[in-house]
Amino acid sequence: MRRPQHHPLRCCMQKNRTDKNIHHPPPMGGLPDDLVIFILSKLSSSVSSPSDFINVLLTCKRLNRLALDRLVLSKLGARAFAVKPKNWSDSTDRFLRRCVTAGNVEACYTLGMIRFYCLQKRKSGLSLMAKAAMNSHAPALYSLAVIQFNGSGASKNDKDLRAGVALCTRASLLGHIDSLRELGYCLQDGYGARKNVAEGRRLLVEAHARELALVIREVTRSTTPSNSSMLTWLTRRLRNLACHSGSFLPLLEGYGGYSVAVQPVNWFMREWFESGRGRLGEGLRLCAHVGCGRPETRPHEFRRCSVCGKVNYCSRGCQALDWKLRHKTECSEFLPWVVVVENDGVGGVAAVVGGGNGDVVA
Amino acid sequence: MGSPLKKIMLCSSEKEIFSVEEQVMVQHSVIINNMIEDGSYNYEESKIPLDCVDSKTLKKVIDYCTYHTHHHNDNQEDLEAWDAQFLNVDSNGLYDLLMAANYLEIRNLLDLIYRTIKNMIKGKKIDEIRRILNIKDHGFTPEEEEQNRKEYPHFY
Repeated sequence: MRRPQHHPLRCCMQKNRTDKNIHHPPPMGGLPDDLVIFILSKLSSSVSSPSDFINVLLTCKRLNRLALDRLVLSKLGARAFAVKPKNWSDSTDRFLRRCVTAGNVEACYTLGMIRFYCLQKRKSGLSLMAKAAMNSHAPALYSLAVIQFNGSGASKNDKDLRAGVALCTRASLLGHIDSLRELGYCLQDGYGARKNVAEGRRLLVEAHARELALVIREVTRSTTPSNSSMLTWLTRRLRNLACHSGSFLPLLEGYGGYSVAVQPVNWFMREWFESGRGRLGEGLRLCAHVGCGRPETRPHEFRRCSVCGKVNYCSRGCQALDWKLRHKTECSEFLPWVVVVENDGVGGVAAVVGGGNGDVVA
Repeated sequence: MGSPLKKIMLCSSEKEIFSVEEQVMVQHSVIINNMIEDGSYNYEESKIPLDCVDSKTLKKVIDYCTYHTHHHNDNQEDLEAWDAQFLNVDSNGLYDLLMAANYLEIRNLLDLIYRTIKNMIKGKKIDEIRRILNIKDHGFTPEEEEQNRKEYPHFY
């Protein structure tokens, strides 16, 4: 019979239990290392902010040692890496590297994205993302696809549409919604793949359905409305839907503010550039979709809104999402202005207005 | 799997004997399952000695296994409510249960206790965690504290 080992206590004060019938003060410090590691790995897989984990690291020397165990680090979730750009330092980089070494795929992706887009260390960023992608990390596959579609970090001639479609396909098989949507547009328009309108439409509908399912799950599961920066458009859309069907309305009313979260690394990238922590190169712009945060790596890399020409997107997916979320209203705001200009005798603008965002599925 | 009617004897550290349905323990405890399967247990005279589990803890463990054997078809919410009530003990009790569950290898009980302790410390400040885990001396040397301050400057 295997008996649990009792480890000597180093940092945690606890008297030996000489008399089995008398309990001494709370003896959590007397737990064997392996049990503490299991508890900590439960914690690391469910942390909701970096401080949840770092606070444990700083509690005492023993927990510091055990919390840096490979098993614990490998289970850390994306939220553990949601550092603020103003707090980014060599030690954050070091901590993420440590998690990468422990086999944490999420850390691979996060550090890869930050290095590629924020620190402009394209090569190491790419290899980290590739490492995550090889471990079937769907957002990493999708990010590599965006890089291939745009030829990011290289020239316009380095775009590889077929590679992008292949990466999207792999991610969509893992149920990644953005990839499904992107793939849908590719097939619908014959972009990097043989044109297949019916199949493309089907994928777009599937992406849409999964999105709704996700929101409904989030809304029904969570009892506390989230307070951080969130996307609210899905909730709004659901409410619109509810106006027609009447069925979702009671459910959603109680959770007005709740919606799907912006992924930590996307939030980081946007904040990095918008807070001025990182500087965008001359003539480079951020993807206008609030949940993306990708910057251009060379001038005119991203696609523009064909109506107003004022916003830029890293992908069709982001354009479609932002259109639904925000730009639909903003874009039309420019219309009266456009008309005025037209009346002033500037030709050719009306044709642009007519172009519209017709390719965006509502 | 033993027949549901057979009983086995468990002996606590105070030498108190507990008679339990075999199926209940076999289903939950890997250790007891192994003992029964390899035939080393004699139903007539064997008592399984659990020297590091006291009577109070052993009784709770048996309660847990019995409830989960007979109510495993209940809906998840009811089970969770029962579990929460079950683990409504002081930290000594929790510690004893954890050690017992580890000793007997009762995986779902272990998992439940891990989660409970995790929830106790999740989202807490450093001082609170020290208080909860009764850590009086953090054991960092001044140099190490300085090092921590450098590594994680935003958490002080």
